[in-house]
Amino acid sequence: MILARVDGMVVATVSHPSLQGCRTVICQPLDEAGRVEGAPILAVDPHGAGQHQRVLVSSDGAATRRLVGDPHSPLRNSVIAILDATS
Amino acid sequence: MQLARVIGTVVATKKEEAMQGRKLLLLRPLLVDEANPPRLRDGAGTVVATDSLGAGPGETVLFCQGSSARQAAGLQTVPVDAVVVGIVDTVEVRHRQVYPAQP
Repeated sequence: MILARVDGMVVATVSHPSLQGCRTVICQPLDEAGRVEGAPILAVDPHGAGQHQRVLVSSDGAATRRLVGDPHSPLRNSVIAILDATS
Repeated sequence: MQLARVIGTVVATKKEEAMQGRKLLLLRPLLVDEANPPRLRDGAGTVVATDSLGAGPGETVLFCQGSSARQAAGLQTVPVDAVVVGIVDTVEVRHRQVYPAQP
C-alpha cells in the first residue's frame, strides 16, 4: 500500500461497466514526511475521501474487483483507508 | 520479497471493515549499496504494510508485495498488497555482515 493525497476526482461517462457508479479519485503518492513522491495514480474510492485528504491506496486487484462487484473488472487500485495520522 | 527499514506507523479510523485491528507500518525499502557493498542504502518509494509480527520503528524487516502478500494466514479477504513476513536478525553480503552494521 502507499500513502497518498487526494488531488482530484475523475468523471467518465463512457467507461468500463465496472466503473459505473464508482467514485474515482486522483491520488498523489507521498513519502513519510508528506513530500510528493512519484506520479499520481487513479483509485476507486468507496470511502468518499475529500480533496487534500491523506489516504491509503492498495493495488490489490482482487480486492478492487470484489469492491466493484465485477470479477472481470480491469480496475486495480482502491482507497482502503482515510488516514488520521502517521508518525 | 524485499528488505526494508521500519520508519513509522500509520493510524486510520475510517477504513475497510476487514482492516480493523491490523497494524500498519511505514517501510523504506533497502538495497545493497553498489558503490559500498558492505552497506545497505535506502531505495525509492515509501511502502505501507500490515504487520502481525510486532516489528517496530528502526527494525529491519522482510516484506512481500503483490497478491503473494495475501497468501499469509488470515489475509485472503483483506485488501492489502504488502505484508511484513519477517523481522531480520542478520544480513550478510559478500561474506560481510551488513546488518547489524559492523563497526
